[in-house]
Amino acid sequence: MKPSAEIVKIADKPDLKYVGKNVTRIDAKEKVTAAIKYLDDFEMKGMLHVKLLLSPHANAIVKSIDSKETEAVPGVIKVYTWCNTPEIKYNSAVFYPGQNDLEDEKLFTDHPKYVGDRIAAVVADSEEAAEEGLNRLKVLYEELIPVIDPSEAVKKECETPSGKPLEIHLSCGQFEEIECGTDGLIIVEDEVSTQKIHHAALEPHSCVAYVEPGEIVTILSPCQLIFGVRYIVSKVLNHPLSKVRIIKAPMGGTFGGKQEVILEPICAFIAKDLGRPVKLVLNRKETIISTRTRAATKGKVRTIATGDGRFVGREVDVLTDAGAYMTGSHRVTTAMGKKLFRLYRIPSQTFHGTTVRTNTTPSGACRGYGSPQIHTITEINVDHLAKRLKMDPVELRLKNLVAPFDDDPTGGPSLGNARIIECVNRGAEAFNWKERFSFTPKKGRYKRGVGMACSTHSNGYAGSIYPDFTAMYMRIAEDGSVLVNAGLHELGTGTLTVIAQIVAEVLDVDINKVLVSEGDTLYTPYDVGCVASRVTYVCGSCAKELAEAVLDKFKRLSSIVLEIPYDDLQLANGIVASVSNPAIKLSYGTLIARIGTILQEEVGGYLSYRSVTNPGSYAAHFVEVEVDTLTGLTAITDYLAVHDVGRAINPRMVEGQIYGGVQMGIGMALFEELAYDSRGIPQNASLSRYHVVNAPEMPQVKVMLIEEDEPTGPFGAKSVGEIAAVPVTPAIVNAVNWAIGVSINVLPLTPSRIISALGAL
Amino acid sequence: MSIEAISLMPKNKEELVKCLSHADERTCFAAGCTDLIPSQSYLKGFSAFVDLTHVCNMNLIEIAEDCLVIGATATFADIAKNPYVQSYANALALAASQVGSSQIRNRATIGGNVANASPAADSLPALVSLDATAEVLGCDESSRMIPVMEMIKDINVSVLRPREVIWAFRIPLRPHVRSAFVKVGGRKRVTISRLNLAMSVEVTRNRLKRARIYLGTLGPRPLLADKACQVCENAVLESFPLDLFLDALADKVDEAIPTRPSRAYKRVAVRGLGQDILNLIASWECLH
Amino acid sequence: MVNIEIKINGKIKCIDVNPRMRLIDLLRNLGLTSVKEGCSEGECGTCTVLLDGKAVTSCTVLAFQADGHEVTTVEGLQTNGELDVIQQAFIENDAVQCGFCTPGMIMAVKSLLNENPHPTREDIIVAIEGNLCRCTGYLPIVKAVEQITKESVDLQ
Repeated sequence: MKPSAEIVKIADKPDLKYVGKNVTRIDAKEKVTAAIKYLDDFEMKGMLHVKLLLSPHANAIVKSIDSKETEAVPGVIKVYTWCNTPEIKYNSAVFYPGQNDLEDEKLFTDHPKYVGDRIAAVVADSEEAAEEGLNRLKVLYEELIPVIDPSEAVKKECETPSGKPLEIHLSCGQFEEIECGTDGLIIVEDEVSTQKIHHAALEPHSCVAYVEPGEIVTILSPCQLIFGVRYIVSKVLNHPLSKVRIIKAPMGGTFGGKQEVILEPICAFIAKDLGRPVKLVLNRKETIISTRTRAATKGKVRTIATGDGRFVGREVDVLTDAGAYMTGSHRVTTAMGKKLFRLYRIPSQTFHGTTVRTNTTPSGACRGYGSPQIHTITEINVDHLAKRLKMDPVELRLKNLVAPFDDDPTGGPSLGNARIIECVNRGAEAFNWKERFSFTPKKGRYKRGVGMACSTHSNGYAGSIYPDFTAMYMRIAEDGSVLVNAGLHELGTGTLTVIAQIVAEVLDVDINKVLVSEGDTLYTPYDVGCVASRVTYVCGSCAKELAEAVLDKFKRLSSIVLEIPYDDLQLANGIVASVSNPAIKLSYGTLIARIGTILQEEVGGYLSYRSVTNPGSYAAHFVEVEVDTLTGLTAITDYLAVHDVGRAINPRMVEGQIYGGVQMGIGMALFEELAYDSRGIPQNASLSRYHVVNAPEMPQVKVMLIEEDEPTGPFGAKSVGEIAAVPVTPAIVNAVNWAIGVSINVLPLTPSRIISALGAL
Repeated sequence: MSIEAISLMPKNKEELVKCLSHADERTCFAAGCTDLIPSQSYLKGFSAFVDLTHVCNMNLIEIAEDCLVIGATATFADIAKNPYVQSYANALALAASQVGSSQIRNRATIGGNVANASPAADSLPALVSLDATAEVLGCDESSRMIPVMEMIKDINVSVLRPREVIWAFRIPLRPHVRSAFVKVGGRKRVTISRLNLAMSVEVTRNRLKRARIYLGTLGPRPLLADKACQVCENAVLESFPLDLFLDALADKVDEAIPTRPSRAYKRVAVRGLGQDILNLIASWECLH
Repeated sequence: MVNIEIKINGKIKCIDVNPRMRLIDLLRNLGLTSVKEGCSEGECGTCTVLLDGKAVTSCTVLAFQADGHEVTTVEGLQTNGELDVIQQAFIENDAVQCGFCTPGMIMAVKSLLNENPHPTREDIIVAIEGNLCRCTGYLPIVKAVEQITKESVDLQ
């Protein structure tokens, strides 16, 4: 299907009340007053505290654990190890039956595979007693040699039949058959390394679990997939899904760090075993070393182009460091490959991805799910090609970028109303790119230069092997207020506000009368979760379609009780009115009560919604940097982020997502790296040693939204939260490379890397 | 279990001296606590905590005779914005303004910074370049005066004995002295120094004399950049031999850390710091 | 144990504390859960409170050191149910996303405005340099403070 010229711009309708408006986020007040209680702020009577014993060694065998002294500490209730907990293996990224990712993780292990691996848990009636008990555990380890470098790990794993690295191939066209050299084709190759990154959500990981009557194991978790947590907990505890209840708890930030199942099965098991509420809150160091990271990658890119800058073929090979367990890392590798075919028109392209385990903190989801890594790898290569061709990098990209409604050459979903060319054109003009871009570095100690990068990201799982459905209940109450029961997860991104805007718009009610729930597996219908940039696009579509159905039902039932023809009724502003008889005007509430009394029926509905489309979201970021060629410090001096969001449901919240994404991307480009020494000991497991972007490093960011409506999105909307973090890093790296005339391809661009690159000139 | 501890809160010098006379290795003298608590050392060992933040006059910043006196519990926030410090010991004011975050500067004290003797401490090269002396208070109410350079025994070890605290620092008031401090870390602000540099110098009619230039982070103590000082001697700002000066600083880095992996970076970065500190010295009149 | 007298959010309290107890623990034990723990080393600022009007990270203060002093947390900001101007400006400028850094951020701004009612952009950035926020990129927060400053100028 290639329509598009006559797309109806739904959101341009002048009478929109909530969509496209800067509605204040609904939880803002409780957050500025600290009325919101995160898990660590939460107490229950008789609650026990859990502390984890984390391995100090990156690869070791536990020869013995002596817990006598621990058990003698007043207040200590019980010590858990692999000896008295389930042996069952699981994969923390799996969220639905039939997903067959490698299952290699257990609650506790006697063979710790990274510094931070879980050896034991001490449960006590106070945090202090648990801590004291932990200090008194006597553990004997036999240290083994760890493997830290993924390239080494590949060699090693290939030697052992049990631990083959996982591989994925994707391709289009015939890359191998491109004959170079004959007709002036140019080949540009690059090797780029991206680093392990700590999510640095300000709230450390936490979990609370207790047992409710009826053997219902209940877990409060600031998580991203309540139903995924339910699935893993049920599996590990061998407890029915119906009796595992996961309640989404207030979330102090995640960025993917709380996407995989980590603390929940431990807390659930202990709560069930002891029959008492338990709480486990990690500190910062524990969160850094023992949860998840952005996967480090090593990428090789070979691009073949014509002399006038048309991409002919590209070959990309990526090695992903899964860390100690496979987790969702191979999904990340796969996701990286898929992005390659959806940004530029490249007739022949092949992707080969390998995921391998090392003795480091496990990798997992992290804002962009592979997109920041793969785009960093390839967008650095595009600028390298521009350098070779002596062609402006913007011009080079414009020759090759995808157009609206292009197909995915690997057979994936249509790219939809892909407006990346517009992003680049309008961004370059606003940024004054042509005047500012320079092939050659300027003179002087402080060198300024500009760079840019493009990227794409998904809108859900449609087209992949993962399910992408959601379901909601929606009911209008007797006072005209609206209740939306949905398995949603507010991560701080404004999900509940966005859904409320959509529902209020369709039903035409005061948004303050719309209540949107977060997920509770006992009471809310199924949702895949807050992953894959799917919530506004998929859940928003469900909410819109369901609201339309509920409105229709309301109108039908109103027509019956008012004895007025359906077509003569108008539902607006919370009022049901007759078009032909202005005297008839009833509030939604009055009419709902009348329907209840007369027809004895609830006005509401349930919708199970399946997403079948998955257009691309697009972005082009433009940046100016100033590099101090003596101290090696890089400052961002100007920033423009241009995003094809289809339609902003809440422009100010979209800007907020972009600011935050740019901040994370700057961190990846310049500061952040979770480093290990050769023994696998994390070198910077604290926020004083692991530098994230603080206020003085943050540039003023200009945001430009391209709003051309995605026909399959709710009110034309597409995703933004993840892609905002994607083009940042390559744009900065490109800017630095142009500014100082180097080609650094190892991240992050620390002062010493910059000085070392300059020294090599 | 960690041992039970008592806490003491002397309100004046006399009460502090009494505390000192009862002190031993297990007594913790606590002021800002911004290093003590993160290190977790407060959890173990100590049997007594003596709070210094309530001792009156211990945080005074004043001119006394020919010295600028800075009380040991003066916070970095106090120091950074104090007009006396800005005029007579600008290196210290600049160092203080770049320690930690605004919250940390509201709490962290100069006495604690010196007593903790971290190689990356920002106040150390500044104090040493200003020829500062620590007034160390003992349990018999006596004081001994120790040049700040000699306060540092080793990495994270000062020469303070168990029954001693730093009472104040004395910085001599020298005519025509200009001073400055610069640092570089992993990011612009709220960062541990990878390298820092402090300088004081007498400037008359744009001619430099008696420069005292110290590099931090290269060893347990600030390191005198002797050749750089020599380059400055009698040099005139308008025709300053900048390259010679920067070469001398780079050579000092090479000499100090010949085998450390960070040498390659620091020998270049020090040139940037050298340029910056000279700019601050040269633009003194505009700034003051 | 040591008995201390401390004014918390305007009310004087006499409390027994262990000399090793940190101020953050004392406050949280009193139910003042606006005081968050994000790093335990004074680096993230989520535990920021006012000690005699100045911002400090309460995870790096021993509780007994607050004897005789005044501590203010976000719980003490509202007067008669009215939000503080900072809270209001944070809401209006979308300076809040996940909300975990928010109380500490607000207290850092409060400290700034106590000392300097008309800060420059640079002053604002230095005031919040010790408060990490991973969601907002700080820009809406700076904007919120600028709005307060501008409004107080307009009033004059």
